[in-house]
Formats: sequence, C-alpha cells, structure tokens
Amino acid sequence: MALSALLAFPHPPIMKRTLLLLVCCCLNNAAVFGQSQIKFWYGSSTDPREEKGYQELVNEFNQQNPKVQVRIEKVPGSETDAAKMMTAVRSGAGPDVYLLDRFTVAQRAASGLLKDLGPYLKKEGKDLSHEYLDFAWKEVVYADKVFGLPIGTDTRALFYNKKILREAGIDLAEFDPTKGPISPERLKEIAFKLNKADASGAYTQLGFVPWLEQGWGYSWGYAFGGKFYDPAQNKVTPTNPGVVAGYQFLYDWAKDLGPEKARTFVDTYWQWPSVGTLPEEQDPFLTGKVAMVLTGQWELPRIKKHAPDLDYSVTYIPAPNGLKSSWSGGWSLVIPQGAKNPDAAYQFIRFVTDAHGQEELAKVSGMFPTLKSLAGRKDLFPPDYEFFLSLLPVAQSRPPLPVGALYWDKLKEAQEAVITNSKKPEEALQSVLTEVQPQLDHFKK
Amino acid sequence: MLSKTPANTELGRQNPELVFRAWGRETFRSAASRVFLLVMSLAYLSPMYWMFVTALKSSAELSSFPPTLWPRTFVWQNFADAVRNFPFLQYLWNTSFYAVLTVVGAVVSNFLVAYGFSRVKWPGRELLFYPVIASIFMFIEFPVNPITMIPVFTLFTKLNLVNSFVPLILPSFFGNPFFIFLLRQFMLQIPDELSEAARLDGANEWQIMTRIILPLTRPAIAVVALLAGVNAWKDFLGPLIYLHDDALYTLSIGLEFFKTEHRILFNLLMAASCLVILPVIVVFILFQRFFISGVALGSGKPQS
Amino acid sequence: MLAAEACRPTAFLMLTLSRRDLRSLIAGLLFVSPWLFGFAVFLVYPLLANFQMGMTDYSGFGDATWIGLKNYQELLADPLFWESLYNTLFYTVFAVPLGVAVAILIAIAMNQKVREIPIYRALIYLPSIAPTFALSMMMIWLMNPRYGLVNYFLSFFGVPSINWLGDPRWSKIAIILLAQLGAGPIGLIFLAAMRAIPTTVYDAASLDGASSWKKFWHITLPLITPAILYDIIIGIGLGLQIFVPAYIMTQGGPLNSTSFIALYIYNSAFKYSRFGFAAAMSGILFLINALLAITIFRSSRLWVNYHVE
Repeated sequence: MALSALLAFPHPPIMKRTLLLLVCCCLNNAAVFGQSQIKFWYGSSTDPREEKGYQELVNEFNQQNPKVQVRIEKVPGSETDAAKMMTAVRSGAGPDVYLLDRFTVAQRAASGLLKDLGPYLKKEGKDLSHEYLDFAWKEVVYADKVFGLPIGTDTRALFYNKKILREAGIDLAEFDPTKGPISPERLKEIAFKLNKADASGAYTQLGFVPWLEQGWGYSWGYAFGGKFYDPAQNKVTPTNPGVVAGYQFLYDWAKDLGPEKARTFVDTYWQWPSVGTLPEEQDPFLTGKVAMVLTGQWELPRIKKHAPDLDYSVTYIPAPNGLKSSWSGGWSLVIPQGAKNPDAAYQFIRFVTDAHGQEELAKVSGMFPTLKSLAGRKDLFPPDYEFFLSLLPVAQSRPPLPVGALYWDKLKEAQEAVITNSKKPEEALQSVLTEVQPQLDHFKK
Repeated sequence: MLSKTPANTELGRQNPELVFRAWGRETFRSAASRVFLLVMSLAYLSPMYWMFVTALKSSAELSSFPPTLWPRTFVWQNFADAVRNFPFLQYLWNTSFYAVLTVVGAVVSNFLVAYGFSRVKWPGRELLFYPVIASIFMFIEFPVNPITMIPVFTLFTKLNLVNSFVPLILPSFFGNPFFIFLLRQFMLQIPDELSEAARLDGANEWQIMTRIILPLTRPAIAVVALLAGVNAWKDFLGPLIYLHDDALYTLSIGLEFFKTEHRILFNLLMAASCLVILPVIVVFILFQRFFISGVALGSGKPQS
Repeated sequence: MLAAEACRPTAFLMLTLSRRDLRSLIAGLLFVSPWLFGFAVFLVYPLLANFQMGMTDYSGFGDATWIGLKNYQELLADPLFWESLYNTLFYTVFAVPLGVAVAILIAIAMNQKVREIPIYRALIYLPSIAPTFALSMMMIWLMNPRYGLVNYFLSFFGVPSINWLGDPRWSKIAIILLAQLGAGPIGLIFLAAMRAIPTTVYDAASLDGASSWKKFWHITLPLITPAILYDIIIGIGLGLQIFVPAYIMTQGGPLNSTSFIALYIYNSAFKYSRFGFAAAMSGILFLINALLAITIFRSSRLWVNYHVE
C-alpha cells in the first residue's frame, strides 16, 4: 500500500524505476522503525478453517509481541507444489515462515531450502523430540537435523450418504463400523447400484469414485496392506503386492465405470483439479453427486456449514480381510533459507506449535494435535470427530524421504494412468520405481 | 465521372439482361461475403462474448444445463465481488508501469538501432544485419523466452535484481529484432536525398535523425509502441519468474493467483478477466488504425 | 593482390579504410550498440550458458557441481522428456499449417469489399489483443464437457460431448484451437501481401476465363509465399515455446499429454530445483528450433517467389 502511494506521485519514468528499485530494496530489508516484520506464507490449498486458526494465532502473537509483527500472505501452492516459495527464496525474497506439508520437509531440506533449527533448539535448551508424536517428529528430521516443527495431523475415513443409500434399498447395517470395514467388492456392488446417467449416457450421479478427494494411491495401498518404503534397503516399494492390489482396485473400478465417462463426470462436476481449488459448496458429496467419499475429518465442518441437513455417517476405509486402515498427514512450520528475521520467526513457530497454539487450532479447525501432551484430549473436539480420533492409533504415515514430494507426484501420475486405463498397475508402478529410486540413491550416505 | 458499373458500359446499355445477370452476381457475391464475414467474426467474437456473459451470470445459473446463451439475471455484483478479492487497481498500476516503461525502451532503442541500420552508411552494415533477422525467432516471446530464461534468471539472481521489474524492463532497452526490422523497412523508404541534403547543409547525424527522420517515422513508431505495450500487458512468464511480492504482481499473474488462491466460481473469474482485458480493448478501439495498418507499413503500399 | 589484402587481419583492414569510412563505421556501431549489447547479453551468453550449466547439477541454491554429460544422458532416458518433445512437435506440426490456413482465411475475409468491413476487421482482430492467459482461463470454462459453449454448439451437429481438457486425445487439439484466436496480426500480414499483387494480373487471368478458385490457387497463393514463409518461421518459434495455455489450463496433464518442453523446463527449474537439468533441456530446445528454422529457410528457395515490385 505504501508502495502504491509513493508511486502515485508523478515522477519522470527513469526516476520512478529507480524509486521502485530503492523501495524494493527497502522491502527486502524489513526492520523499519525498530519493529521487525516476519512474512508467514501458506499455500492456496489450505483449508479455510485452518486459515482462520492461523489468523487468530497471528493476531494473538502480534498483540503479545509488539516488537515483532507477523504478516500473513497466501501464495499459490499445495502439498507438493512449493514452487512459489522456492523461487522466492532463491531470489532473496522468500518468507520467514512457511507452512510446509510435513512429509516433504525431508525433500526440501535435502535441496538446501530450509534452515536447520538445531541452533535455536540448543539455545532454548529444550529437547522437543519427546514432546511430539513419534511419526510427526520423524517427518521433520532429516540427516539428524531438525528442519521444522509439526503442527497438526488428520485421519481419513469413508463418508456415506445415508439417504441415497436408503432410497436404493441398501441395508445401512453393512456400514456399521463395529462390524469392521466393508469389503471392497461389496462396496463396489453397492456403489454401482447408485449410478445414474442421463439420456446421453453421461453420469449424473455416482455411488463412489475411489480416487476422488483423499482416495490417493496411498489410501488404497495401505488398505490392501501394502508398504511404500523399505527402510532396511532404503528402497521405495511401489511394486509391493499390497500397493499393486490397491491400484488394481482403482483400475478395475474405472474399467467398469467406463474410464472416459468417469473422467468426464469428474471434470464436469469437480472441475479440472489443476484449475484452482473447488469452492466448498460445490463439493460433490455435499451436492449429492456422489453417495460416498473417502476423505479426512475436515469434511465435517464443511458439511456443517454448507449442507447441515445431510444425513450421513462415517466408517472405516473399505479393505479386504477386515483391516482397519487409515493414514495421517499434516503440516509443519519451517524457516526457509534467507529468512530476514529467523530469530523472530523461530519465536513465532514455537508459539504456534506449542500447546496453546495447537489447542486453538484444534478448536477452530478440527486439526488433531501432534503434541503428546494433548493426545486424548477429546474435549477439544465435537463428538462427530470421535471416529477420526479413534483411527489415530492405526493410521500410517507417508515415509519421510528426500524424494518425498517426487514420490508422491509419481504415484499420482501412476494413479492417473491407472484410472484412465491407459496403463496396467504393475506397469505404472514399475515406472514409479524406475523414476524415483535413482533419485533416492543420490542421497545414499 | 461515372463509376464503371456494368450498367454504364456500352454493352450494358444495349443488353439489359446482361446487366441484370451481372447485378445478380454482384448481389450474390456481396451476400456471400457478408455470410462469410459473419461466420468468421462470430467465431472470433464468441469467446469474448462468452467471457462477458459468464461474468454476469449468477452462481446457480452456471450449472444450468443446457448452458444459457443469455443471462437470466444480470449480476453486475460479480464485478464488485471480483475486485474485492482481487487487488485490481494495484495490479493495474503495476502492469501499466511495466507497459509504459517497456514502450519507452522499445521506442528509443529500436529506433536508434533501426536508424543505424538504414540511414547511416557504414561498412559491414548489411553483413551485421543478417544476425538480426536470423535471431528473430529467438525473440518471439519477449522479454522472457523458455530457451534463455534459465541462464538469464540466474544472471539476475546473482545481480540481486530478481523480485523487481528490472529484469522485465531492461531487455526492452536493448532492442528487439522484430521491431528493428519493422522500423528499418519503413525508414528505408524515406528518400536518401532528404538526409543527404541535410548533411550537405552541415547537420550532424543526431540532428538529422531527430529533426527529419523521426517525425517522418511516427506511424511506424506508433505501431512499435502499441505492439510493445500490448506485449508487456500480456506477459505472463516474465512476471511469473521475476515477481514475488504481491505488491508487485501484474494483472497476468495476479489473475492466475486469484484463480488458484481463492475457491472461486467461474463467474467471478470471468468478471475479473473482463476487467483485465478491458484496458487493452479500450486502447485497441482508440488506436485501431495503427494496429491494423501497422503491418503493411513495411511495404509502403497505400492503405485503404 | 586483392587476395593478399583480404587475408590481412581486420585491424589492418580498418587502417585501410578511409577516415570517412572509419567515422561512419563508428557512428553506425554507436547507433546499433544497444542491439549489440542486447544480442550479446540476452542471446549469445544464455545460449552458451545453457550448455555450460547443462553440465552441472545446480539446485538454484548455493553452488553448481560439475557432472559432465549426466544431465543429457538422463534426458535421453527420461520418458517425460520424450513425451514433452513429442507433444511440442505435435503441437507445432499441426498448429503451424493450420495457422497459415486460418491466417489466409482471415486475410480473405478482411479483403472483402463490403462497406462495414472495418467493423468486421476489428472484431476478428480483437482476440489477438486479449492476453493469452485470460483467453486460456475462459477456454477452461468454454470447453467444460457439460456446461461449455463448445460442446453445446457441437451438440447441434450431433457431435457427442468431448472432454476437451480432460481427455488426453483432445487436450493438445484444444490448445491448437485456442492458438487460432491470435491469428489476427498474421492475417493482416497476409492481407498486405495480397493487396500488393497488382490487379492487372487478376484481370489478365479473368480474360483467360479463370475461375475464382483457379485465380486464388495459381496467382494469389504463389505470390504470397514470402508471407507464408514468415508465418511458418514465426509459427515454429511460437509452437516450440508454447507455455501459457499448458500452465494455466492443464498443468501438463491429463496424463502428461500437454507437457510441453517449455513447461518441463520451468517445472524442472522452479518446482524441482534442477537448474542444470533445465538448462540442458533449454539448449536442446534451441538446437531444435534453429534446425527447423534453417531447414525451412533453406527449403524456401524451392517454393517462395520473391517478385520484384
């Protein structure tokens, strides 16, 4: 704003450019009026309620620390896309704090993007490794150095629309979680009963699209008992039989729906995924376009806000052999290289990831805390979260690898190939192996 | 003097049925022309029409099937909503700043260089012009093209000039072979005698350039200015890799980030797009003849 | 004696220039110096640097480590690279001739002797002024399988709904079609070329009883070949460097069907922090571009008619 005010005055063109250059330099060197400013960036895929949580925490922090002002900026980015942040850091205009998907911390750290928090931890004199849940802490450590602090975590389950199922004559007792997960074959039978098409044959409603929302390869790979990484041999294992079975499940489902018709359905009602984030009101589960969806606990506030009358419930992710499976993700706060105010940034990070911060975030956004001290705090959540909390003990987490983001992207590519039936699962997953393993070998100590 | 229509010829006066047939052919031809033109302009106009119409639709109407060609209700509010989330004025200012400076650079540098290649006789001039033509294909995307962007970006990073408009504007001050070619073509048609006479009168090259050639080259300069300005307005890849502060964003990347950062429906996105295109359309309407005539300037043929 | 003089070094040659020549040489060079500097810094240096950087492993942070030809070896074995190359060439091979045809069509349209022609000209030219990024965003909606105008329009002809941006078979075609909206300026160049043909040539042909089609094919077309050559060379450059529609509409998908080289270069550098790898690709892209341009130019001797005014 000050910038535009400055430039609003008429100057000759040459002067304006120099002025702009100077002002840019000034922006690059914050610390104006004895107050340090830290830039906190998060990506555009951030859940709106989490956003609210961060904003509240930032306001609180700013009030408590008049000498340090945190400024939030939303930038394009998602779980594996941190290009904006990386380019900015590279050009010396990066943020002081960034919200980074935890399982990619290793990869970003490996490419020299992040600051080692070790010195700060030492100065504080605390050993935080025991305060956080094990799997969450493991994700922020790379090469024995700490590169971030964990914030929240989540779990995934199957949501189903009771009304649509009832109307189709399905016995809802089959979905009772006390009976364990429903089998994938039975799910398919039920789901296909719910498919509807219009006169031209295009789908207008589908029972279930296994790859929508959180139906990533990871979900089904874990459900079918697969493993994605072999720590003993330091090898990624996309061709593990369980993983292949999971992808085969997707392949067959797509085949039976008709891959093009399925794709058209998704592209019509869900927009092309790369084109921005879908407005929440358009969520196909909320609008009844799909009867069931595999997603995380953040769907609960969405339902409450946009479809409060939705008659739904949740159960385990369908799996063979009664395997109760789920997986947890979550975010972390990191300090990129070249941060102008790393000390203040560390202060802010500790504030958000500590007990008070995580409690607030839990209450506002439904994020599960990663602090051991807050584990089991059911009072932080409304009752409908209980099922998701119960999944935490059985939930797996993605292997923290220096090729984490790459592995995810390649698995996604394989998934696309499989759901369009253009490649068989074995072939697609074999490509993942041949493309990712060499990169991983790069990092062999 | 009567125009030469079939009716006015000797043959025509004597054979009215030939005139009638000729008139029939003419009408058919102009009707066919009009149909052809209508189809073409419809094809080219429809995207813009669709953009505008979508911008005015309500969110509910977006999902009506089959799609409505004319909005049921006119939701002008969409434009206001778009501007609320999208710092339109800030980005407009930045883009204008970028465009204006680009125009300055393009006009000044290309004029100088074209002058050197056309109005001054020096040994090796033609030889040195070949690389200019040969490199046109490297400057098609300007100022940032995928072939040279990596080393140039690294260079600007080392100079600590990234996250500013410098890398975007600077190249314009060093010439663009396409514009050099255009200006040179134009200047070659100005008779040598004008320069010679001035030289004999004792004028130096600079004076000849500014007092004689410059005024005569104005139409071509106008074309260069417009093309360079519009090019800066449209630039996407350049701002994408060089601008990292939301105070600096141009309309191009601003719109893209608006699309990805906010969970928006297409009517708002289209409203924002309309606002982004509007200034360019205004410029086009005002300076239409320069855009359209600019192309034929090189051949020196009379316009119509 | 002439040969001996030609063998002398340039400095000596310069000394043999008359004072007047030398003065005009300096003046000339001074005038073109901005271009000389730009040529060196923005063309020659990056081209060389691409090859040098292409032999390093550089993440954009810290130092670059020399790895020889490893990047190139990796590229040769990289299926995404070949896919990107294929996509880019596919796009270029189809977009360029289509572009020429459309431009000629536009020129014919703009040449119609109708009173309101300025309005039509403006309408046809207008989309080329609109920024590509804005048109791309609009295209996303225009080509939605269910709610888009294009499929709605096609449905009148009984064409089943096409998932333009979601079907790997159609995604490139969608982008090729989008590119035709920008044919305005090239159309004008063709228009000027057509106008440059004296009417006497057409009159003579009419006297010989030639039909409109014959006139077009045997007179107009051959005589506008210089404009066609220009369009092809520019078109090749634009085609090989295509970036914006892929970035905005499809991000390289679906199934990498719109992964173009320029996009892969951008992603390698800015998304995956592999500047050396990206530079290696840039060098290859340049070679392809140059090769194609030179080939077309060389071949032009066979089919281009430069007629003297």
